[in-house]
Amino acid sequence: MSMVWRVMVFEYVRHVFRKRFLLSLLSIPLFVGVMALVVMLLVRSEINLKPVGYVDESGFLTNPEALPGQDFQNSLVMLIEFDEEELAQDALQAEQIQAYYVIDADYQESRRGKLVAIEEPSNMATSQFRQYLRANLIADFPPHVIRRLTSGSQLVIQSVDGNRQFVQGDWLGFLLPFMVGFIFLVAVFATSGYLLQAVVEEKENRTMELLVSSISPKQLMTGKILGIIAVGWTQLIVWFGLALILLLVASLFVDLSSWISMPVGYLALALALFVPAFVMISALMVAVGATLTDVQEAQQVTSLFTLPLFIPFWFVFQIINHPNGPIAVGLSLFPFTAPIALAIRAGFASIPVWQIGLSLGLLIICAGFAVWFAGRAFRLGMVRYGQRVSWKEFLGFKVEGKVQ
Amino acid sequence: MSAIEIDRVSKSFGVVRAVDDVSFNVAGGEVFGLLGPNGAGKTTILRLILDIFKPDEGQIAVLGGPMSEAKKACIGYMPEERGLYQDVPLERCLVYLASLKGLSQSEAKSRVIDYLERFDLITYRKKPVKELSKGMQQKAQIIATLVHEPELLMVDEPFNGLDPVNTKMVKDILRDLRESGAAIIMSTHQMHQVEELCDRILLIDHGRPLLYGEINGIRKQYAGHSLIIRTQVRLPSLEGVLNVESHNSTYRLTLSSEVKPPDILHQLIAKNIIVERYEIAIPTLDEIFIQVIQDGKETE
Repeated sequence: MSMVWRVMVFEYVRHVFRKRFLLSLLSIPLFVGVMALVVMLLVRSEINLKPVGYVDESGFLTNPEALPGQDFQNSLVMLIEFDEEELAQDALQAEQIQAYYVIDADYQESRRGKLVAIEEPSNMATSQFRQYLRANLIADFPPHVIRRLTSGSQLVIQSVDGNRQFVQGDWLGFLLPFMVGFIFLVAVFATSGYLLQAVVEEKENRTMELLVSSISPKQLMTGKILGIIAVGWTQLIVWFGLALILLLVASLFVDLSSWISMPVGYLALALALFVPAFVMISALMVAVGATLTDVQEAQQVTSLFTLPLFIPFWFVFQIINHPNGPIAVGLSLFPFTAPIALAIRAGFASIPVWQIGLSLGLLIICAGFAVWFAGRAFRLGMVRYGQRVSWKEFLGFKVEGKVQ
Repeated sequence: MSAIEIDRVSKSFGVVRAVDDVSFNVAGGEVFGLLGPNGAGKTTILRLILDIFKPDEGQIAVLGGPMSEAKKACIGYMPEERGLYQDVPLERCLVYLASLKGLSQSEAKSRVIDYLERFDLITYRKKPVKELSKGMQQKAQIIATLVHEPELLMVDEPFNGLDPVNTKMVKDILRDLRESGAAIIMSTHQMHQVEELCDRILLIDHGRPLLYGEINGIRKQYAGHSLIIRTQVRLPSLEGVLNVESHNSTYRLTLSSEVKPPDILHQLIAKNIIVERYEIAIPTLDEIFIQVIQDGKETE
């Protein structure tokens, strides 16, 4: 274990303290941050956030009541009360406000008023003033009625066996399967690239032979794989840590209470799928790294089994619309597409237990085969400098060898 | 007890027989030369000893028994394909390799620093390996091989890329290790280094053993048909001499198989020739190497 630990620590430190790693670590959050900033600026430039004025001739809004938990006077579009319409008109001409409303004197009976604006006010301004009016209209009701009126109806759709349910407006429930799939892809790509590079570099540096004269190939590969996984997970933890900080900041402004009630059973299934899939992909990366001669060539070959991971996203509408249809079932049984396809299906429908069992079983068998395959590839390829290992050699056929 | 005992070992890769019925042993306190032309199977034999390859036939005993993971800590190996982590600082790279030989981190660091000072590399300790010259990297590779003071040392072309000063230093280190009882296998093409350092050799070609034994014995075995004579007078014709090569006042005489060296000395004395030097010409290992390999090709 000590040797595995030493290899793991060396591998971890070697990659984490590289400029390349720090760049890739920071580039993704930086890219996302810049994109978010650009989008925010674009949206903000499109939205008119100038205050909206109102003249209340009915006296109905003289003591405005806010909706519970909301403060209209401190919202994005401020509401300003004018005593006379002339003052509101002056403010409009002076471009201090984007529009003003005049509430008719008989508003309580007629529900009439008028909007005065040079250009049509923004949706946000209109919506905010409407909410403000509505809040005042129901201000005399008891608090629990106000809450019920303002929250509106909520439709809950539940599967027959009660395993899955969707609550109207629960955007997290809809997004969760995609987010889980995305996290899996990020984890695979963050780690597998390093893994491939680590094995190929060992051959390029000619260090393999020296190392296996000190420790067993099994210890070497275990240490390397653990070290690289730690590197990949460091990257993920930093990214998700930053995302969490962002969410915490966002929670100050948006209600994120639904995040706390994530379906545990669903997440357990996703984890059960991802572990063997992760092992399978990692082992295949090692196999390719051990048999080929340079990183670039190896990356081209690995796309053969990293690209199928995306296939479920191409068929996402078929999977959502027909979660138990032949395409969805087929994709959730094929080991390379199973982790994401099954995760998406499970997010939208109840899946027969035998299908989950078969899918998991196939994945575990394939992961075991991939580990065996990687071991054989590593044994055959570790001291083959500048030479690939052919498929015939893998299968044990006698081929022309080179003596050293 | 032999540090290495190889008994009738064979290994094939596909249809190529890389090692064919090879047997030899290496004792502690001995430098053993493993010789042969390119592609002869030398590196394959070293990899078989290290258990990187498994033999198809025969037995290999290392330090008293089958190779094991624990024994790797007692073995120093410098492969033909030199390898260090190019983007890692020199000291960290060497400390890591030493730690894989079972040294503690502090012990590894202290020994590496000693060796870096000895090899005049201490000022480069923080530099990535790729920034060092080829010769410096070769010295670093030697440090990685020796730092854990192995009982069994296997070095493949250890003097490649070294200047004369460092070549001498490495030779002295190898001699010191031999004195301390370590067994050393040296695979090289530099025959003068073999003559200088090795006690015994094994010469192989196409995986087959061609010559095996003590160097002096082998050289004597290939001697006896030539004489070296130095005289200031012109050498007269002598009976039983097939060929004469001269260089300044020194003559190399090739004798027929019926004539013995003392017969020539008798003839010279009888002819009143003043002989300044008379010796049986012992062939160099280079000459033996070429002759044995050529003989091997002719018999194929």
